[in-house]
Amino acid sequence: MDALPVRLWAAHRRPACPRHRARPSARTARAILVALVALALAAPALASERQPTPGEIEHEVMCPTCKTLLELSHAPVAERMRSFIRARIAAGDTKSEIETKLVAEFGEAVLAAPPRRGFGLLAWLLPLAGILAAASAIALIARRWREGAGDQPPLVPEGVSLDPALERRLDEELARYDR
Amino acid sequence: MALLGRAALIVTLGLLLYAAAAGGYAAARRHRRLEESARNALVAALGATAVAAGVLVAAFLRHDFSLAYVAGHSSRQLPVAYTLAGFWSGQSGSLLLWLLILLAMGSAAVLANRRLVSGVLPWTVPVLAGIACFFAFVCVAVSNPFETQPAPVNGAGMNVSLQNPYMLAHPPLLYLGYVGLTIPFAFAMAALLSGRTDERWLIATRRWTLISWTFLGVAILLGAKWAYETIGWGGYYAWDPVENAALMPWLAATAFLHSVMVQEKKGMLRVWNVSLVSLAFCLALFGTFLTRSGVINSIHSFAQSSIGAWFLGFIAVVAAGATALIVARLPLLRARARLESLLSREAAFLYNNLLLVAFALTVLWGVAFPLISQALRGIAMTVGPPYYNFFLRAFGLPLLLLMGIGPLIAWRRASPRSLARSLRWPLAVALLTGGLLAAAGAGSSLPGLVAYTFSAFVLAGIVLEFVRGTRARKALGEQSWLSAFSSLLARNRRRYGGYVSHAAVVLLAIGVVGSSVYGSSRTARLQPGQALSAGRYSLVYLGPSFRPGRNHDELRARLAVLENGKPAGIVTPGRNRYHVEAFFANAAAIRTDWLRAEDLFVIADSFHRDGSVDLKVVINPLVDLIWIGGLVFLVGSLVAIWPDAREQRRLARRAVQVEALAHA
Repeated sequence: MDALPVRLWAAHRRPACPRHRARPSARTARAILVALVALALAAPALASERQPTPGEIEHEVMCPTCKTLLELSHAPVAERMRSFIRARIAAGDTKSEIETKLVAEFGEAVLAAPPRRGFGLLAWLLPLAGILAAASAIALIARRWREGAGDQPPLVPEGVSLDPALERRLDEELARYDR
Repeated sequence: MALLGRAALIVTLGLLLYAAAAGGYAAARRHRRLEESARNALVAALGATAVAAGVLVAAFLRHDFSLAYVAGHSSRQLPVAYTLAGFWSGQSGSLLLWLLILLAMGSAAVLANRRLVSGVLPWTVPVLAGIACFFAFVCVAVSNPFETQPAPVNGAGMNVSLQNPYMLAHPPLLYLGYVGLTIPFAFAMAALLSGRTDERWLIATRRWTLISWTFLGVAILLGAKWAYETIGWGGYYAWDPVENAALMPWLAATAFLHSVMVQEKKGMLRVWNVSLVSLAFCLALFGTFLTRSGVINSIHSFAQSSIGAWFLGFIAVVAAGATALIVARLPLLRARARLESLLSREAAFLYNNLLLVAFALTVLWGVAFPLISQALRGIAMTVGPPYYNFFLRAFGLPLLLLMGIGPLIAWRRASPRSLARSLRWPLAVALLTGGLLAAAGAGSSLPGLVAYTFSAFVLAGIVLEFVRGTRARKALGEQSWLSAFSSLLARNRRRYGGYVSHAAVVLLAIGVVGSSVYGSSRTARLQPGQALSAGRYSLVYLGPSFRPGRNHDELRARLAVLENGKPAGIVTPGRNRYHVEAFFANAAAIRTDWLRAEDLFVIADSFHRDGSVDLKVVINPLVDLIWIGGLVFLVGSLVAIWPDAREQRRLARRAVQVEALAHA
């Protein structure tokens, strides 16, 4: 038991796997991430712009007096906004036309989320840019680590791969140790 | 009495100033006796604060309205339990509670860890005392709970929405969570100050982090339950700034709990961990600031006053100090190992941290954005539910998926093939579940379907781990399956407690998704005798009823519920009128179907002269899984927190070995 951590340590210092072996996994991970973000981005866009329902709009604008979503408010102004929205939908307005009219009347704060243009875009883009930047930083650092692994004299010399059976045992021990 | 309370607070401040100054000097000069003296001063400050808190409790119980704080937050009509809750229903009382909890937890952590981290401890005391100084100073000089006045005949009563059993527990638990994060932060800073940056500070504070994280999580859920039952709009979380205030440090602490495992096992992420614990602590301070300063217009800002500037200044000092210290100690924080592959357990932890911290900072950005718009453009903007829900999907869904992969992926380096092998059963269960749900019509919401598929994936992985572990224990000679299972838990509480917590998060996700994307609602104005139908239910309005009470009167609409045409009881939503506070509050009726974990949520908020009533009926499918998830979360945390001497020894030994190897 006592000797194990030394081996654990040795395991860390093993030369990193050659780049061409690790890269597909990195690419897969990145592809999955991108796909998921795209999925999440696409979902709200499915809401219909052409023929909105009153419920959809009530979910995206605020009641100016009680500062909750319009759908939850029963203030007099909320009832007026509701009948306005129904009337505009009946008149054939698109969702953004109706929201523009509400903004003209009550100011930008009537939108429950910042608009995805102009200054409001900053609210949406910063988190996405931040996570993409951080993810690239991780990928970059990981690559540099793998490339720079040669700086330190590895305990197992480069090119000498452990015997597969030994390797498997090491992994098993590591897994057991982990429990 | 007020004089005694005030004197006790001044004594507290004096003791803390001494503990900070003398403790810092003693630690720098390695002056053993002065170190002990500073530690004793910290514990004595706890005693003095307890006296102040006792005075305030006594004043509430005796209805001593000569104290402005007592008069402002209670009345003679208020039931005793809520009278006691008056202690923390305002600003100065809550800050006193902060100070009391900080000193209690700080003293306990310092006394409990005397041996394990003897080199770090001398610095922990002045750091803790310095933080406590700020709160003592605010209590003494800025927001004094012992302000006196000519006593009015009766107090102003308590904010009506706070008169609820959940609100008895929510604020103290929340503060235990916020304050608890001070402990790992103080030990981290002390480790940096003392230069002993090995893994022992992590081991010493792991349980404290877990405990405060648990308190914070339970407090958030109790707050949600309170909002659900009391505010009465049919939801439980509105992304209100003050709700977010508790969520942000919880997310950061969640990230920290995961990344410490990488440091303990591999000696990696050391800079990251001290940064993360500083972030969590700053977010906890920011949370207190948001709740207590009223900077942001919110239904929660019960306490509005002028401590905002002090708090912001303190947060800035803490953030700057922590950053400077981390930068100064960078050479000591070099990683002991490197990331070998982007497909490994270490990397999975890294992605987990990336997503959790990104989400926490996004919430922070969302909270701050209206203020920034106001300051830069002079135009008010709203960052509300659509914004947060978008990012909950963008960051939460990958996080959910990762929760299924992380526990099953190998340390060091996994090959796509080995990963596929260990994930094949969860994957099969997930695809099957997804297919069945899609066939059942869950595809009406794509994020909902994805979330449920991922949930099945995670749950299957957890079950698999438990089955495998139990089998292994049985094979090793345990008598029965049950004893194999319990010895499995006992041998690695942290891992299996963690799995239970994962299961709780999945239940939570299922509940949140179910109630937010698969729910429905109907509104109608009904005359007595008329009916409204919603889904399987129809409700017949029988008529209004009125019942006067001592604290409040109750106006109710009596409705007979029919489920699939069969009578299923009576619900009575309505409104309460509170006498002293002269305030109306919603009293929604909630009918829970535990078999389906579904709620029928009925709101009656305007009663008309002609006897008719405005009704809103909300069907919240699976919403009760959130509360069940909360209980499971508590169980998981308890399993992980439960003292385990063997594990503690093992970790300490490993830390020492890692340290020794580093110097070899």
